[in-house]
Amino acid sequence: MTGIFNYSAIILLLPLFVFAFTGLFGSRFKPGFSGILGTTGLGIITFLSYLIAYRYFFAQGPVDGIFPKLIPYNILWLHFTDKLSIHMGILLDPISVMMLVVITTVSFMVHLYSIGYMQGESGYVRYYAFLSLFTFSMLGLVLATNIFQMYVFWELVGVSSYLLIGFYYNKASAVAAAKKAFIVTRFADLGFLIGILILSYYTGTFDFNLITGSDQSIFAGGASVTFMGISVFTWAALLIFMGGAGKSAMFPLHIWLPDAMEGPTPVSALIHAATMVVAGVYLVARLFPFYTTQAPDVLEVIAYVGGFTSLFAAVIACTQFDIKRVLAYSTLSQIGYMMLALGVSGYGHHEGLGFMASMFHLFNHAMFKALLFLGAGSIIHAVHSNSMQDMGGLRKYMPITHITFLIACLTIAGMPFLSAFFSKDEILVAAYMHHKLLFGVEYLVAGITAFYMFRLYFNIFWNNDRQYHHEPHESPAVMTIPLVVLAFGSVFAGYLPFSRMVTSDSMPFDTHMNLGIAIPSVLIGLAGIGIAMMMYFRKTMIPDTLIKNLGALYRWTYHKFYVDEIYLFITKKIIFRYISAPVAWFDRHIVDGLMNGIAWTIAAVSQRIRGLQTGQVQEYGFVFVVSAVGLVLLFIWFLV
Amino acid sequence: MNILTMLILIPFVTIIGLMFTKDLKSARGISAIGMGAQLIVSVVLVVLYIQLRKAGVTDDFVFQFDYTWFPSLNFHYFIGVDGIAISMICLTSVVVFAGIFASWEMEFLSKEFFISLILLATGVFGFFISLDLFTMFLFYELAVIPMYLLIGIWGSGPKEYSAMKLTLMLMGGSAVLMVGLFGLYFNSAPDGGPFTFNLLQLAAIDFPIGIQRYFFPFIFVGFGVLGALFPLHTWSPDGHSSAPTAVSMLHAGVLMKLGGYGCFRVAMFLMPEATNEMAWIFIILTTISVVYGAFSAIWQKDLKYINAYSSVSHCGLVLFALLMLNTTSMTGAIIQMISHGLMTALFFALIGMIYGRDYLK
Repeated sequence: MTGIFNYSAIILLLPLFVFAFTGLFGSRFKPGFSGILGTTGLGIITFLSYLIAYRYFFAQGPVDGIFPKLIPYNILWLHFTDKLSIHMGILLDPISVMMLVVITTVSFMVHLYSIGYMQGESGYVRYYAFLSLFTFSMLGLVLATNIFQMYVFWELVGVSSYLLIGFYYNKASAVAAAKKAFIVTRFADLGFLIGILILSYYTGTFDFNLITGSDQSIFAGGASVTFMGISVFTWAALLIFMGGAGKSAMFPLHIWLPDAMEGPTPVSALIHAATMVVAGVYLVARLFPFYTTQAPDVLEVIAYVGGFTSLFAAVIACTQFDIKRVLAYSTLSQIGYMMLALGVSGYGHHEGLGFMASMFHLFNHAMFKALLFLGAGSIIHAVHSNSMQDMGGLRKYMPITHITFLIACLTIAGMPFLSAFFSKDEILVAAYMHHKLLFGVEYLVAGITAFYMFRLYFNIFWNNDRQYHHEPHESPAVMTIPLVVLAFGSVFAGYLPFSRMVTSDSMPFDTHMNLGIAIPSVLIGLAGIGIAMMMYFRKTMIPDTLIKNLGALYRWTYHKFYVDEIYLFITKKIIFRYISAPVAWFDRHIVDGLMNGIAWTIAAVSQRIRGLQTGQVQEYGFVFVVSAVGLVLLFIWFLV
Repeated sequence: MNILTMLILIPFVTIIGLMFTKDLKSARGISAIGMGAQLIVSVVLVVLYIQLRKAGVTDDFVFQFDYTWFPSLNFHYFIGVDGIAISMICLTSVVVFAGIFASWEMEFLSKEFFISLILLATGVFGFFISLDLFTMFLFYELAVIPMYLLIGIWGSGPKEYSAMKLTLMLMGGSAVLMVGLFGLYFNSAPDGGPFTFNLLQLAAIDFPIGIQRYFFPFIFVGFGVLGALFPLHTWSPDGHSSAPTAVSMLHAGVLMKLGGYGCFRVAMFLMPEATNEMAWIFIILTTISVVYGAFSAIWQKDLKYINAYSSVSHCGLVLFALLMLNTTSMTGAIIQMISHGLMTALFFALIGMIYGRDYLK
């Protein structure tokens, strides 16, 4: 029965092998070889993942009404003491199997797409090596059996993201963006690490099975311990969420994601839209039982952070002109949705609707957001610009890209019968049951989302029919096939019976449409599309007048509410100037000065003493006689 | 022959071989072969060690060998290793081997350069295998002297200043260390009989707390200078930035570990009560090292300075973890030594490559 699950190790190890092989020997072959090798490898593990998912969810199904947690491998990696040891293994449960499917699908599509997109780039081999490294790390992250293994892969994911954002290392902005992404997420991971340490110190384990299991006795040790009036487990949960917020780019740690768009576009699709940025959501979902039992207050925080980020990012997205940045802010906003859904969720059965909705939305989002990014890549490939001001009327030149992009836009706007319609509806229901304010915010965000997506869509494909220097042309098949596949995913993923597969307590339940919530949300979406159509379908004066009338408010939004500037102020002006510089100065001048001072003092003293050695015999003779007489007198003094 | 003695003998033979070379090509070839052999011996050592442990040998130190080379004062060539020493030996052979390749194009006085470099390595290997404190000290000094030449002759920037500073500070440290070691030596025979430097015999002696209190700071600070203990770390940024690539690698990667290893093996191992009593002082100092080194690193403009300050910070962390006095933290400290050794050596190698190409750092 478990036969196929033993092959899960291949899923993890194959990308690692491909990475090592391509990285070390890739340049010995023709560049195309590494692309084909990587894509084939990904194809194999995608197939395996589907087999595993099929076997896990359908062929085997729930045991006693619960989807079991399977651990095909768990190897002791580091042994410190009997109490403290770290394992490396593979954990298969509903969310990890679902993530397997998401990651391998999107990664496979991106690998395939990149064969066309990256053709002729110098560094093609390097690109594929890093892509494999990323896939390996991301799979390791979701399959981790314990929180420490997750942390290890979490960092590896950060590294590969850094490498890929900085792929065009000749470009100063790409280098800066890579650094920014790494430092911001690394800073957040500091919180994550401290959270892990607190959690494992008081529970005595890293193992997810124990932390999220039904046996609550492991929490007894720390239950009464508090720090600053808050229980240690709340602290741990909060700090772990900080790590998640960093990777998932939640406010106020979101600043790295829009800049990360400096990387190649397929990378943005894979890492900064579909997989890595949802790692934070996955982390909270992974520890969800722990959050509900030990730190429900933190869930509340998560809900509000998610809700705020979704609104905040959606508003900024309306003002950006770089199409990838619009998509980046839309990603932020959608991840905010997922976080919110987790935050408002309870544990078990219908209470856990939010959890299910969040995972459902994650799945759908991966499909349509990857599609949007790959579509954007196809457009950028044709127009050689990122700015929507350089685009317009592209529908005539790129029919496939146009249709698939439109499908994705309709999906994200929550139009009926497309995948996001279902998941968004569940999220709204969950939010409604929890808190009316959050629910209201999400309704608003749904409208704004529809607006900015169609602002993007109309600006790219309709608006003014400009003359291009080189006539844009449709991308090659190797790039359009992934678009079509993902478009299928975006349309039909919503019909998966998610509540029967991925739930907070692994027990299937049934959901049904709540028309009272679904119909208004569709209407709001339509309104957003309508407004976008009025403003951008043809070239009108409305946007410019609006910008003029809004004045400062627009500028404020356009500059992303100056969050970046605040960070720069804190780091450059305060930490660098008032802590680092004085410390460095202190070290060079005071501490080192002291050491040099000692040396100089000794040198100076020696210089003086050296003056006594005049080399004149008369003087030596004089000193000799005087000293001898002195000594004799001294002896007499003491002895007599 | 004892496999550990081979670790001394191979570099020695390599040095003799180097004396007969004439140009860069043969010098680097011989060095690479010699250090390659050293690397192989280290790997074999690991395998043998694991086999011994699997076979159920429970001695604290294995591959022991004892020879009295100065009978009147009872100085021994007493060697032996445990897992920690073996991991350090492995680290050293990897870094030295890589260091040979990092100085592949050393045109200027190449023969002398490689001789000094390998002499330095000999000192480090000898240090890690010794169980006799005097022999250990001797090897420690052997590692410091070539360092002066390597930086002073083949360095860059204000190399004479840096070399002199580094040597004087380390010598100052070893002077303090020597006081501590002799303090233990002269108290090693409470019931009469000959004094000893034998680590295992010293460990069996229950030093009175008064003596421990007196000599612990000497030994800890003496080794601490090499481990970049605040405020005695200032040789490190200047020394590292002036040193040629291979020397920076070896120095930050291995030599700074001598400090942590010595603190652990001698100061803390022999004088546990004093360690327990005085740990707080050094915990404060090492905490300063960690935070202060990191903040200083942020402000540096020179890659080598950044890395040197980061080494100060990391080595501070090693000492800090040792002073936490529990198994987990000590295991962590040892692992940190290895990982920092590899990481920093790699960093310096890369900086060297950048510098070698466009003379910027």
